[in-house]
Amino acid sequence: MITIALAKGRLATKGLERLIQSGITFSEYDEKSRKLIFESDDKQARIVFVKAMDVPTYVSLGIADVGIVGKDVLLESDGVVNELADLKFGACRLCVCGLKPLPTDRKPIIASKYPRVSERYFNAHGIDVDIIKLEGSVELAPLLQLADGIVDIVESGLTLKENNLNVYTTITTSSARLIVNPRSYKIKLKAIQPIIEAINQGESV
Amino acid sequence: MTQRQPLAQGMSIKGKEIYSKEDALIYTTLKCFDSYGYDVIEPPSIEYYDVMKSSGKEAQQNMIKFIDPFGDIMVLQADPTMSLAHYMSKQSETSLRKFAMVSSVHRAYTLQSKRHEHFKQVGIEVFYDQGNFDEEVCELALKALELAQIKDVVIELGHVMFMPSLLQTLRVPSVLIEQILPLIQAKDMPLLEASMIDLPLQVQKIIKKAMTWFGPVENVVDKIKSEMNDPLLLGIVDELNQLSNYLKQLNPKINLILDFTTQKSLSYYQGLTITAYSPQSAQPLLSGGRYEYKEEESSLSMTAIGFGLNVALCAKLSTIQPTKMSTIAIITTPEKKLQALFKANEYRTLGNRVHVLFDEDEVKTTDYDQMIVIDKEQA
Repeated sequence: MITIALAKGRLATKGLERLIQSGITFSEYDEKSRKLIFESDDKQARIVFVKAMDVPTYVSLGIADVGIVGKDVLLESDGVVNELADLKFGACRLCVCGLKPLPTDRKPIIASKYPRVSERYFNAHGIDVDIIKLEGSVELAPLLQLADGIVDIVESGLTLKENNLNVYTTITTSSARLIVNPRSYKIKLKAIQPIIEAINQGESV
Repeated sequence: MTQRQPLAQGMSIKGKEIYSKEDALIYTTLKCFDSYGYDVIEPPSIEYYDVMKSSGKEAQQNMIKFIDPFGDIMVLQADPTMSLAHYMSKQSETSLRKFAMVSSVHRAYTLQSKRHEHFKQVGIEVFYDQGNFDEEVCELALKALELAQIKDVVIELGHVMFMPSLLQTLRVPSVLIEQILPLIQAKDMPLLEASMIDLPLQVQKIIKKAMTWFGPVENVVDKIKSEMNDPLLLGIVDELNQLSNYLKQLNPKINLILDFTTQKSLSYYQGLTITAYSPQSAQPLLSGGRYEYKEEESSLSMTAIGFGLNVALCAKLSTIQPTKMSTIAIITTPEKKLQALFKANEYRTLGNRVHVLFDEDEVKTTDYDQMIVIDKEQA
């Protein structure tokens, strides 16, 4: 059986839609259910719902064979996975934001759910910063003066606007990626291929 | 039974089931290698950093380095192949040498594990200047895995020169080849597609197709032969196909795959690679390959091939039945201690695991098969 790791939310809905469209159905699946594992009707696959940041971990350690995850999460992860396709949905940007530009007369403090991406970005630009790791509501950090700026994903920009925050730099763009465990891809190729093609809308990779 | 306090992070109790399997695995594989004429050696556990330099940048980053009292940079053994290759490069004549070894390999921690990693591996290295030892080494890899008795093993053969040769045949500029190869290794399709944007469409199409050149032997060989007619590339395909046929003759039940997208897991690999996987493990059970070793300051180079098998991982997945051992507790008093110790030795020579205890409460902390009390009354 092939295990597919999904992060509950828009990426999972879209991924599930594609599986169902190609005939891999999950009649037991109920969006409102608190169940975390659902088997496909033909018992050839199962979907597991995990936190977005945990999708690369489950896939790289081989607990899940396939996963759908944002590029932003992949950049933050150190797990080894094969990134087979850009699924072209869930588009967003990873940006440096704040109430005002970062101070230049002292070491700026940055709050982020993406400490590794932030560190790489500021190191590459020769800017010495202190990074505080937050798990959520990162926009609060500059408002409550916990940090001078934040590194976070921006989709519509509405949350930032409502909190009077501005985007100063776009670090990178992100969208949903189809990932696979390198070992599973080799040794379960026959079983994995139809699932990959289903998620990637019929395109083989 | 009451629970003992857990051990500190990084320590684990290696129960009799595990260590007896590990010992059995090491003993049987070394015995097997010995029967093929391999000299069993023990590589150094601490090595000069200079010796490890040929391992490549990535491997060097994961080495645990320190400075010894004489000011030399040392590393905890990270790749016994390098120690052996360095030794061989200092010999005045390069002739056939076959080594078998058990060694501990140490690597610096990853963010995920947050602990330095070390594991025991048993393996072989053959240094030669005449002929080819691919069949013998792959045969021994197969035998080692058979001795480990692991279910559902998949053996993958690859060739690290296939993809670079394909890209050269397609006249991809060498700067771009350097960029593309790591992306092929990571099977990072979005970045690969972006990197190839300036190449002719036909070339892009072939490279994308080549990314699927892995899987069961017949499928892959047929796929490549229907697409390519370059003699160099077809030569590599035939080489792996012939080796696969030989291994299938040795064990018709073998689950064998070929991967022509394989890249160098270690920078010195130059040709054939062999890796064994199990669906129960994220780590390979065994990995190895053929390489050309060249000392930085010397013109001497030599060819070698070898592999290492991860002992703990294979023992964990092995279906070998460990030797049955009963655990006996002998409860005694300080006055009757010697009598109890003699009794314990009697039981141990019969193959049992025996604890001599002075406190009856201790018995509650472990699961004993039998309890014997030697106290004043009995004496």
